[in-house]
Amino acid sequence: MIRFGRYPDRLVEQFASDAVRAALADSGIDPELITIAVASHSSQGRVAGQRVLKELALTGIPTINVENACAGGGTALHTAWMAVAGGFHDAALVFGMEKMEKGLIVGNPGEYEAAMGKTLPAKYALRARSYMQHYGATAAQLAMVSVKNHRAGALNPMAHYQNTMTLDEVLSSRPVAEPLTLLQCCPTTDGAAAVVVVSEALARQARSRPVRIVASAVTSGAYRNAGRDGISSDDDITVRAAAKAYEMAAMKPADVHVAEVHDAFTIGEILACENLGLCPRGEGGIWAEHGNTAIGGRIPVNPSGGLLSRGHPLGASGVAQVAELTWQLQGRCGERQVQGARVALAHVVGGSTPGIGSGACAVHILTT
Amino acid sequence: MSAAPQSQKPPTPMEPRIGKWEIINGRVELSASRCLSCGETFFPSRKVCLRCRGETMEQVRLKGPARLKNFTVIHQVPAGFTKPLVAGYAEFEPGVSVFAPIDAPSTELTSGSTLLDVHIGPIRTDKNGDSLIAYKFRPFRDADRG
Repeated sequence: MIRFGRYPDRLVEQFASDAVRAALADSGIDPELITIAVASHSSQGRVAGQRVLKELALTGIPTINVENACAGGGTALHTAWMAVAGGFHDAALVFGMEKMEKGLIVGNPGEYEAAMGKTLPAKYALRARSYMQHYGATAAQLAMVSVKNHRAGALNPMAHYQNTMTLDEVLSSRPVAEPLTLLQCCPTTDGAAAVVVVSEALARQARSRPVRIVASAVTSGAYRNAGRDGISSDDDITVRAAAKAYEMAAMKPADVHVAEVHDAFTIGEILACENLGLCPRGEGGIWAEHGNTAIGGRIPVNPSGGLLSRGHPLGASGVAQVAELTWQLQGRCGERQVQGARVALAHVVGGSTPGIGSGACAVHILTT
Repeated sequence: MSAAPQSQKPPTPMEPRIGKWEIINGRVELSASRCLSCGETFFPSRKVCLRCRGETMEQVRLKGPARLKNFTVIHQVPAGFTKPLVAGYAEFEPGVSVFAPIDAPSTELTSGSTLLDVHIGPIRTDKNGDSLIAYKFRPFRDADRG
């Protein structure tokens, strides 16, 4: 991947091809062996994947462009995993990229809630209020997620924001949608990330020690009536993806040593940890407050700095998570290294549609 | 400070994109659909039940008072909205909630107990600065019923 940041003077084709070049070089896989590419982006125009690969003269191979909002990167990896695990291809290239517009992500005009003023921060703010009311979580517990992730991001040379911040700074930043303040919302960030997915036979040729994808699951939003079903669509989509992934890996949440989860907003990380079973229901805020999810804690979450600190170029985030977790499993993360990490979990979730909640979710489990 | 120029154009209703409403005896009623197979109710109305895929739906109407379920105050608002925007979900019957702006300061609202009424009012302006109107919530007061 490339360092995430703001690149007003660079084309997406330029910085995304840099990310692809870096991944290919790191893997040591001969580009000639790549027979399929999957590119994730949300708003980079038609055939953006092919436009990026043209920069590297990687032309002619089937290239699939994936749009799945914030879960696009994870969905692209899932697509490549199906191609390779299914035996159709031996080597696939996965990359995600986004050059973001400043400010709010514009909602889909056909959805009544967006038309009536519900923004993405408002969606998470509503989830936060409902969570706080139900479990007694505090504004400070939510804000601690941002403090923790910026502390980790300060150790990540690939992060957009590499500065720490105090609890007071997070809480006193301007309100975006109550109770979420600006520093509890992911920044507007450009970036790209890439990984190479290969068959077991080809993995022996890799230069860097490869990691294994032991589970790959994608789910879509489904109708749930929280009052009757006991769970909202927004939580259920992750619970289902996680259940599928744990089953596929024959693992349980307690087997995970490190996780990268969707923290576009602070409450998002707390809910993700609970929905993934990484901490008990209703205790996500307490876990953040007590440092259980910090590097060195019981289950380090977002050692890269997460979306809050690394930044969130929509289509790139899911791939960047997997790049980070690969480096974690390879023991290459320096000061932010999670000691003894042998099992890693990546989670992204995105989109918002009345009736089905979040549109897409991807969960991957990787091992050494 | 001079006032912003006012558009002469009458306000445009935002329906049907955001759902339909009718004003019956001076009260706003929202048009929803109920599945005849499983009984689930949806707003805006739809043709296929999201719960059971049933395709026989009957039209039903949702009217206040509805109970405030959850709300937020949005400070970074989409284009055309005035900030801060108080907005949230009101529950019209068990499991049937609608999202809309709320004409009330947040200090007057309590999730789970405040009763809300539906009225029609300006939601936002379009790119020409013209006012768009739709259903909104406001605190329900028995005295208003007359």
